[in-house]
Amino acid sequence: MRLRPPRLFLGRTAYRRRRLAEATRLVPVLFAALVLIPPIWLPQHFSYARGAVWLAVAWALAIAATAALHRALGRPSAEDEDDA
Amino acid sequence: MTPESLVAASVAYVALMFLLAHAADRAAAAGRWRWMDRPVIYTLSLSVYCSAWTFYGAVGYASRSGLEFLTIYLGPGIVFSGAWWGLRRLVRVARMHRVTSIADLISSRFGKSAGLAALVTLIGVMAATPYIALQLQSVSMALSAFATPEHALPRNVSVWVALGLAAFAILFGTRNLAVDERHHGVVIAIAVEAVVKLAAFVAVGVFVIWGIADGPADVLARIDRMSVSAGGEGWPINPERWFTLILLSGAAVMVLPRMFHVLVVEASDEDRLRQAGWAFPAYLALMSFLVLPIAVVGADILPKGANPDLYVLDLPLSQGREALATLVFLGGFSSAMSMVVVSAIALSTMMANHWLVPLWLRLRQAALAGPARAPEDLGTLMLNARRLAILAIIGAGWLYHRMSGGTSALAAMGTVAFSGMAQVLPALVAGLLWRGATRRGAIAGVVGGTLIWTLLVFLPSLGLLAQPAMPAGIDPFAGAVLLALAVNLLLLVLISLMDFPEPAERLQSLSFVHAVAPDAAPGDGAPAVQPEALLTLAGRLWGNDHALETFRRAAESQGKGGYLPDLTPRFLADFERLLAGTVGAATAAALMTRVGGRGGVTVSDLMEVAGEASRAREDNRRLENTSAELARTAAMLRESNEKLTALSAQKDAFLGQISHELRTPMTSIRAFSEFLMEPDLPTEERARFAGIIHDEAGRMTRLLDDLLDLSVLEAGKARLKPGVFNLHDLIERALASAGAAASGRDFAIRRNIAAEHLPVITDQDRLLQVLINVITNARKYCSAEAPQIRIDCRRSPDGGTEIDIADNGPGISAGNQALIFEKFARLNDPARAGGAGLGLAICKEIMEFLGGSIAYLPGQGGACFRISLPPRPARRAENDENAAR
Amino acid sequence: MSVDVLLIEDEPSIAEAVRFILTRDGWGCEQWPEGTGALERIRALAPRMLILDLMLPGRSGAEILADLRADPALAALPVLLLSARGTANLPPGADRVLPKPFANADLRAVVRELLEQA
Repeated sequence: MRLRPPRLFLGRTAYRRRRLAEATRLVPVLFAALVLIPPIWLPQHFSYARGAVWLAVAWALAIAATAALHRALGRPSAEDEDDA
Repeated sequence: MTPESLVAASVAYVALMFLLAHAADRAAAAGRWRWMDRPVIYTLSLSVYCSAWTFYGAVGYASRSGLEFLTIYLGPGIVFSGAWWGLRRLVRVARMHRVTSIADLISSRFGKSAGLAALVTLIGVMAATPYIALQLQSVSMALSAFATPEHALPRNVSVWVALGLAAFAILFGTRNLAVDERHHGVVIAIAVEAVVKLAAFVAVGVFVIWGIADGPADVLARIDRMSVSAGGEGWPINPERWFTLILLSGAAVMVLPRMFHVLVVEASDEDRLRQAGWAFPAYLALMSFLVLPIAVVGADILPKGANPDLYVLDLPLSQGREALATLVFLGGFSSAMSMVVVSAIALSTMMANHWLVPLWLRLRQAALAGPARAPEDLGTLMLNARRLAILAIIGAGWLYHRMSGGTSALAAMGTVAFSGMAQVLPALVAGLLWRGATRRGAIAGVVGGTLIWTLLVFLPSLGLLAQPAMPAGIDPFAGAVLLALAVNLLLLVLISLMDFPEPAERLQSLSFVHAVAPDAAPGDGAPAVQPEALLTLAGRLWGNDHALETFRRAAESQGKGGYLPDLTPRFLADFERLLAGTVGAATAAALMTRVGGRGGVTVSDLMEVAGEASRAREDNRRLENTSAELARTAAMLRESNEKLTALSAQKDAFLGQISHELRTPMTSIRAFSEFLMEPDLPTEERARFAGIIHDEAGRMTRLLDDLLDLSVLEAGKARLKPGVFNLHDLIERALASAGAAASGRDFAIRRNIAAEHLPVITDQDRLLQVLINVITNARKYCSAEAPQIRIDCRRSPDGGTEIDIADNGPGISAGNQALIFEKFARLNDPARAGGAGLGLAICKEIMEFLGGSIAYLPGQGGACFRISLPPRPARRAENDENAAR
Repeated sequence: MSVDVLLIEDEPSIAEAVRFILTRDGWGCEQWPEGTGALERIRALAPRMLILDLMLPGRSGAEILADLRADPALAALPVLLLSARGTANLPPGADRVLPKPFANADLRAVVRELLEQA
């Protein structure tokens, strides 16, 4: 049940913010996939140096993506209140 | 370095943290908290996640099980990369409900259930015991690394460590009963410790990578060599453990009591997650990827018998780097210390709020809303309960450490704690995402999951039960944890689907799932509770000043003056939430029921709210604001209209009163002067009658003086003669002249002489007039058996001065409190002591003239007046003086 | 000595003046200083007349007068009302009213008249 009827169309800034907020939901999903699937699927290939490099790169990417998205989102505005 | 000098260094380090925390607390108390209240401090305080387990245990874990140790940090990494919609929501909802702990959050979501809160607290305590034991063990283990045959380890190190950490937690965690559970000193201390940890770990990591090994490529080559080396049997990744441990660590970063505390309770707003969302994973990544080189290089160059948990210390020691090893020791000590202190604070709050206070409320039948004879009893009780709980928690950790003999690997103890606390995860996630999750479902899930965890994980870890038998090929730990979580989730979902929750619970679920501010609970149409009773309760918890300030602000927002707001449903709901911020939601609800007899919510109330709520939300926000503004204006208008009507009636009454007050002495004068005209009156009668005439004439003069004084003050024509005076001298003089004037009863005067020595800039004669009047009134009207007058003075935060004058008499009834400052409002008193009832009216005019105020403070166990002076008299006076020239 | 006049008046100096006047005229006079308990006092002393002040602590003179007139045993008791608020808006039921301040001679005359008619 949605308590506030969602606005149907948004201005450019609000629209961009909405999409950025959606992108932040994608990051943990992708990161979890990178971290979980390869080691579980092919444990013998990811147990040593290759696995360490793989995880380090994946994590670094996730951190960079989160930082960039959070910077772009900036302080929450009133428009953003019902994005969750 | 000998163990003794290390102990001395750690004592010095703890002392430094004491000073730091103390300074931060003082700065926060003085309102200079803002510069410390930054996202970076918040991010650093989150690093309390990296306890001694990370510092020592992770290296041991890595050298035994390879990359698996990374799961403990990857879980939080994943959770934080989704901070914007996950954690931000959690923090927002928790702050909205002024949640004090993870147990409080779960309990509040599921209808403020006291049972659920107690249950979650139990899990928290069970899970924390091995975890705290782990920290104590790591410190004594680290010391043992420095021990040599000549320098044996000091005995009972862990006892002293435990006692020291308990003292720290008690001093800074239970200093006062805050309205929000925030501890600025502790947060600053753990932020600084986070830097020390990181610095020490980076130092040893750099030393190992470039000082012992030949850079990152060499480290990677050594890692690959593990696949064929003798120590590398544990290295191949076990898929089900990989998944389970990432799940557990992701849960732990939210549900561990200490993590919930720094993540949610100490957060002043959810916006700081924008920075913490990437900075905290970066901190974790840095720490965890430094673990690998230390582990593999340690395995390569240290003797086979060395304890992998101590590689981080042994490596620099084996190369003769004593200073580096000392830094590492302090880093490890920091991580143990911050973990134990924050855990103890968080768990003690839970134990006090969810175990001890409900028990106390049940045992004690005395009314809580009675006059406050011992105003601090409830607050002190809460604080003592927490202190006791801190000792109990750290003591239990120490006992576990002694019982387990300090033998098990650190990592194993940590995962036991994680998997226990993770049993709260299904209730937390379902509670925030699914409105259908119910209290009974949550209880069944948590109980079921925890039972399985206790039997298959916790007791075996203590050696009390055998390791469970799992089907071949499945890891016993991962299997047990997944089984417990699956049963937990299944019970939660199934029972919730069949359940019909209580209305109060449905209100909470709406508020939590949609992150909307909770509506005022319905069904409080005509509360039986008096605002004074609530004020008394609040005063017992928060101290009088804070309670009065809260009530004054609430009254102000309703457009009312004074300290007693109307008991609107909104105010009651807000007040309950403020209480919840101190004692937890379940206890707050119980207290409100006790004091106010607030009835429960019914289903039809709920339907009504739902209707109103959805209608209200169709209007846009501006309309809401406007109507709130209008309501405030209307309240103010209503109040001023009532005042005007009352004033016009008062004007007639005023004339009648003046007539009465003048005619009464006139009657005596006329009668006795007629007697004097008779020639044959005896001389002694003549003298006596003349005396009566004289006295009555004096009384008329006083009345006329008062009236003139009042009219001069009211017209703003009085002349201000400001000067600097010592308040103590003024009070002395006022007491002397009030004592001389009053009846012969013996009053005990309770003063704080030291606090009275305040310089005040004001008109001395006028202030004296007010003081004498208030003290005389107290002497006149206080009818207590052992009468006493209490005088308290203090500087207010704005630089003004407050003087409270209270007696222990019957006080003034709520209906009359608005009247006492009116002219001739002598409250039907049988004593009728001389005055005409103008005293307090004049006091009020004088105080306004001086730029201050005088107010009646309700709920102080007697009549109490607060005289507030501004830092200096109002400017108006000078202009008048200029105009008068 | 029988009680001719019961004076209900809270101001001690006025009470003393009235008592002085009446005693010199030979009337027996008692005084009660407040509104509470005044009716009980009247029943106990059974005076021949009552001098009643309007403004009293506890219960007002008007309330006492109303109770008096409602009581069949006391309804006929002559009452002289003393008023310090002029003579407007006076409660009904009093036999005579004297506004304060009064002339001593007026008081003596009214008391004599009420006692002699009774």
